[in-house]
Amino acid sequence: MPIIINLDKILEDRGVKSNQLAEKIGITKANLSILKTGKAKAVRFSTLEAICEALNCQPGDILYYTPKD
Amino acid sequence: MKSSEWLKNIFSIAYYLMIFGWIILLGFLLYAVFINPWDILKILRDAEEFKIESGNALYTTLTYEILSGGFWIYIFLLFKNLMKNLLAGQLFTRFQIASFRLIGQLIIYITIIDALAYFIFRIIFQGRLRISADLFDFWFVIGIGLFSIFLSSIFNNAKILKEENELTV
Repeated sequence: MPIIINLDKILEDRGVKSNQLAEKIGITKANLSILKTGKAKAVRFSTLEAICEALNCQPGDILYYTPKD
Repeated sequence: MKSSEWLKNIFSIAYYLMIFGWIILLGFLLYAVFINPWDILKILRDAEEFKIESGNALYTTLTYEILSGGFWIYIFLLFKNLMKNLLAGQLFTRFQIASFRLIGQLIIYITIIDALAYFIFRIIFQGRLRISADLFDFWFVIGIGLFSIFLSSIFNNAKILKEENELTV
């Protein structure tokens, strides 16, 4: 998919673990894993808002677009 | 009792009655072949879509009815399994989509084959042409088959939406 999830890098930069983030934003570890691995078909604004708030970042830091080959 | 339970029970009863009828037909054929065809001719003479007046007509019709009956029993078995799967809980699975499509296709095929077979039997054994396209006997059953295929595509769309919903974080 041309939309890339950059969550792993942001988590590493902030020194936050996946399970800590999942707990903080109120989603399951399984759902966070779906998001991190790029299997998600859609992201709710409420989830994006919670992630940005928890990691003090912008949506553009988490998601970016790469054109198809 | 829930309507779904009623439907499941009705299908189970119909399924076992069909098997019972099929065994009787098989018994008729075996009796006609090995003991006396004229006894069976007396019973079936006016019971079929056309008059059975010869041994050959009797054997052919009975053999065809056994094959066609076996096909319908298989369709009912598929539907019985599908109902069991639907009532078990999970909806919009690959099994349900494939079953609805297969049941619909088989109903359409066997209904067309049935109509053609009787058309040919009438020509061979009675020497007359007659096309029977009764609303209930032919078009209604074809309609059920098409509806089953339509349900399959609805279930397929529902499966896609369900997956999208499950993969929304």
